Amino acid sequence: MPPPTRRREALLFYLFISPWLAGLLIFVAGPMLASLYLSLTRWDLLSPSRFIGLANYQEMLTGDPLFWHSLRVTTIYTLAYVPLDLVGGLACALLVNQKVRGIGLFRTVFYLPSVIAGVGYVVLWMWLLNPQAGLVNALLHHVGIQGPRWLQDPRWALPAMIGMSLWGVGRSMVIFLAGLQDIPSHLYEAAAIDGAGRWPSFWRITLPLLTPAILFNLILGVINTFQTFTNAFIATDGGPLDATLFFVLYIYRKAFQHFAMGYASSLAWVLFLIVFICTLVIFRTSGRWVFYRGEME
Amino acid sequence: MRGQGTGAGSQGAGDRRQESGVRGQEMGVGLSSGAVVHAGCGASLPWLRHAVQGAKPPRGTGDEKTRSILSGTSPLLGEVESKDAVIVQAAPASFDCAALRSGPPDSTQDAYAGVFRTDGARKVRFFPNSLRIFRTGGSAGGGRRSAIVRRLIVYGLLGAGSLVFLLPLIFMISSSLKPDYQVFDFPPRLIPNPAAWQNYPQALTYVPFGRFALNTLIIAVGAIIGNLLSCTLVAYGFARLRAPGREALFMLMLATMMLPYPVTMIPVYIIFKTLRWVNTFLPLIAPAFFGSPFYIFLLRQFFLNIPRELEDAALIDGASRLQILYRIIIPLAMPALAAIAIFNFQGVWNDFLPPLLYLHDRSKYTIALGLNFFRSTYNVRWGYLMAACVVTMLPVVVVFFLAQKQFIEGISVSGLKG
Repeated sequence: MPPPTRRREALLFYLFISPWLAGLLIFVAGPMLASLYLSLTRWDLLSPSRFIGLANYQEMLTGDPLFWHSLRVTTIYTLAYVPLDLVGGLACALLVNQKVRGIGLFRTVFYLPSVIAGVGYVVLWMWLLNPQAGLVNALLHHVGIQGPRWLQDPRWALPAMIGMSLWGVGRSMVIFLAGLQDIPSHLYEAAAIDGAGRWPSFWRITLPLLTPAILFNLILGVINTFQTFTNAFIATDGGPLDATLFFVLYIYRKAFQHFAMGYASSLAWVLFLIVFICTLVIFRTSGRWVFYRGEME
Repeated sequence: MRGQGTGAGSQGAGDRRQESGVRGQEMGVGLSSGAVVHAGCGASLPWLRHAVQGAKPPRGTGDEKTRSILSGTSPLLGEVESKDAVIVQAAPASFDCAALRSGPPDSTQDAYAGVFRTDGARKVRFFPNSLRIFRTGGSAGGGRRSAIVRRLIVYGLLGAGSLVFLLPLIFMISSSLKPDYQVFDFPPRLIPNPAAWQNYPQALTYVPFGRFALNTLIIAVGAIIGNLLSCTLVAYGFARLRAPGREALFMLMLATMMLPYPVTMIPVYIIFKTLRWVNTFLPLIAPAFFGSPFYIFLLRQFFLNIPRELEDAALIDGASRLQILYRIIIPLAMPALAAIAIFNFQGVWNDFLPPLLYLHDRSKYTIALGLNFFRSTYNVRWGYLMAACVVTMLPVVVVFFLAQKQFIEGISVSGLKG
């Protein structure tokens, strides 16, 4: 191909992707730099901003117990929710991958809660977890257990929130299901001929070939849980006693209730660094445990 | 043929195909592709290897061919023996083929056919790509019984799972039909008596849910139009046009998918505040016209699967890239575009933090903000609240049921390449 045509094609490429490029500058790169600068200032939106160097970060690390507290709440939530979501999603995927009649209907039912994510989901769970008349305590009462006050009890609010999020396990289930259906059946046939049972087949074939899906769900899970906002804002507003003060909720409060834009920006950058490092670590170690089928051919 | 170069190798391959084709007919094994040894990961067949090593192929029947009868005891199928298996040797260390069956084509016995590879007729390796197991007849009643038990267990687990996922929704509907004095009955009863149908009209008129729904629809339509326009262009660029830096930019785009919303939230808010767009729908619609990485990614994957030949002809005829995009690509990509529209609709309908930041007047609330407002105002009237929940969930659930296929396929695509 002669160079002019090639240059024309390159020009055309940049023309085609220009909406996204512009968006990248306006909504991503620019704001990230601006936010980095804002994190070095004190600004309440009304009076002019004042450059204060690293004072926000210093304040955060040494003089703000709520920063550490919200970080702890979010980390506990992530460490508990993500593994449960992976195991639960995989278990559901294995179940709805069975070849029995009516399986399509079951898949729909398992996935249904993920569709209604949002405010309705949270309000519904506030009612289910209602200590006096909610479904959860009613069922517990049925088996002779006096249920706790869930979202109103500082000890139970976070576990309750983990539980209510797990109802939407269908999202990771769908990813696992796609991964399962991508595994060629001849591998199982060959294993069966060799006399391998279900359990060895699962450990030697299913799990290794699902590792890309596990990686995907793991990364998405970590990124999403660190951004938890809606659940906490609606169900508990961070309470009781800050038991569910998630990190993003704290950022929101600082920015849009206390109008400490500079301090909120420094919090946002800490969030970015945490998510970035987590993702990087997961990717870097993934070479050791993620197995792509292309590699064996 | 033995010991010859590549030319002889291909000739050998022809011989092999012919040979096994004949054999395939004889043995009633569909081996038209039998001679083509698929590359793949091999699985060892200890029991068969043993059988071959024990078998003594009559030598010298042909120049390069060796006939052999294969037999063995399969752990799965029991005693099997080939009626007339053949091993054809082509090039020196190349592969031999054999087909194995335990009986005639319409046999009621279990049988299997496959392709093997031998190195000097000593080791037999099995290529599972070519393996099919035929279970043509009842071998054991025990197997069937265990299959029924297994099926029962599967249905039991599926039923239990469905209960976990459905019971909250059933409880929601039940509560939504309970009069105030029944909502707090403990333990709660499932069927409300009498059913308080008036909960629905009352909940929906306490706050203007119609207005909220309309606002959400306006935002959704605007965002969908923006995303369809921009994402199609960008995705086509990434899928078809070659340019230096393309791969790096694509990776960058995937990376921005992982950027948490709160990181850019404050400066973007300030941009829209400076534009005096706060308290309008624009901050929720305008960004869509700059594309969304996830939708661009989905579309690009779809475009890559459209054969290039379709476009090449049009290019030679002098059509421009834009013409190709609108005349050829978009009509073919309708399912993918529909999936994006559905995702976008669901996203806008459920979105909470962005509208919370930008919409302050109650008359501008979206459905999500409206429901939250309703919750904070009528905190204890759970019957009304659940009625409002049912109504606000209904549209996304209906859309999901209507477009389930696109929905799940779209999500799956995102996972496969992740």
